Amino acid sequence: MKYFRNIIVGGWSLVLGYSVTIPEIFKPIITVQYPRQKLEMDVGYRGHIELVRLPGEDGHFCLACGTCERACPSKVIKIQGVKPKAGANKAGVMYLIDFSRCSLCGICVDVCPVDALRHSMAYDLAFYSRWDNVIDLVARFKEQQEQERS
Amino acid sequence: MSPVSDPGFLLYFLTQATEREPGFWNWAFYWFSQEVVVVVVGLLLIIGFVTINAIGLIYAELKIAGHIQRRPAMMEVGWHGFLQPVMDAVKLLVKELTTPTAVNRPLFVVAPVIVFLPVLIAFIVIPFSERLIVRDLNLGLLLIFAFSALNVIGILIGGWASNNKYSLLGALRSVSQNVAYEIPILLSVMSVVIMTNTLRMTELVAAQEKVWFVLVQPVAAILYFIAATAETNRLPFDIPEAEGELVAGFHSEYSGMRFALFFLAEYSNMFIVAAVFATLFLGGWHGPILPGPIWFLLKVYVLVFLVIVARWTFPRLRFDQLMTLAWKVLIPFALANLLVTALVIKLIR
Ligand code: SF4
Ligand code: SF4
Repeated sequence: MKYFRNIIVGGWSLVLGYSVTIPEIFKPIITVQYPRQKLEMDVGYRGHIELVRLPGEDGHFCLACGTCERACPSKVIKIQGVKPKAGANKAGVMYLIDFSRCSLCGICVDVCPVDALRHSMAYDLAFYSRWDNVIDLVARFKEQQEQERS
Repeated sequence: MSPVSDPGFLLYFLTQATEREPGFWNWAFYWFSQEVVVVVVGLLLIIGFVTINAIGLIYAELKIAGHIQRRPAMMEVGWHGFLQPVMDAVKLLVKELTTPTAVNRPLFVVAPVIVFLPVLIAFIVIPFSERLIVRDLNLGLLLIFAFSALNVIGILIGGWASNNKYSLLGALRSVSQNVAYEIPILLSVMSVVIMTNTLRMTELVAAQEKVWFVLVQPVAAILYFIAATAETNRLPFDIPEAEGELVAGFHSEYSGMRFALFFLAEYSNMFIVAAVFATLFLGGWHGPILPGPIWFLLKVYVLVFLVIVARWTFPRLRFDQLMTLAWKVLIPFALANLLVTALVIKLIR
């Protein structure tokens, strides 16, 4: 009896298997041809950090307070700030992160007192040398601003 | 010098023969046109068809695999990547033929040919339509099965000559698998043959003018389909070349054109198995409106499609499961089916 039951169950499983895969062939494709087509990243995506850019605002908000530098568990942030003139707030002029060791934990984004940081949408990062992983966020910020203007 | 090897004597003999028999040249021309032309043209057509069929099936296989996984598969070379298999073939053609030093060279070289030649021979008797058949032999069906059985000898030789434990294990598995599955195939085919009383492919098809044998012999059809998939060594039955366990089984050591021959043989075997199924059970070229060859190819490729989809649907069997399936399920059922068929035939006649 068990013998026949096995055969019937096994045979039915063949039909079930086909009924799963054959309809799948005619469903639309859900992947993209990567180098030619790229997906827009979702807002929840966590890329490496970048300085917040707001429309209408010229410049970033980083005060070079060093909170993120101290909070970063991987110790990948290095900030240099200057005071433009006496009595004014300090402003970050160099903000380096070593992306190769960043764990994308987001602690730096959370601790920033002026919300100057956010995660970027960059996802296809690849470099020839490990030193290329060191990104200057201020330089990157200025570059993007130039691009937007032109 | 014996008279036969003396050219002068041969010439004398020929002139004598032509003088005495004025129809000699007519006969020679007739013989030439009947035999040589048919053989040469048939062989060229078969080789062309085998190549195009294999290239098309590789393309279909990769595309179907892609679409089952909801991805477009290859898209780069040619429109929707349809030149990709052609380029693969070119790559295999121009690649260096590496021969490992430890192999048994003559056997190693001859194995792919032994695997591939039976495929060409089987195509001789496949009836694409009533008249589109190279040779309508009266033992056509037997010829196909006799020569497909040679396939396994080629695999064994290849595995043995490679002098590699994985190849040898793959070859041994292949032999036991093929021996086991040859039986249900032949038994299920037998139950059709005792109904039609012929082994001639065209007569087998002609016997299904009114009703296809898949309706008369459903059990034999299912058994044949399962066993024949196993016979082509394709997933879910690709135990001889299970890449997870045996690298690539019997063809681990092969490269370039020798590997391509194994590949061609596999895809052509798929076609042959499906063609035999269409001939025996699906009424061959019979069908409304469309011409015969198109119906035949349509049926064959629907079956091939099912075999390809099976590869991306079912997981590979374990070896003991494979043997259990053959000896405990397929063979008893095939025997019982044959017995019932024989009894019914005896009672009706
Ligand atoms: S995301 Fe985490 S690891 Fe990366 S820089 Fe910010 S705090 Fe450091
Ligand atoms: S990014 Fe925020 S936390 Fe880090 S130095 Fe600038 S202001 Fe301070």
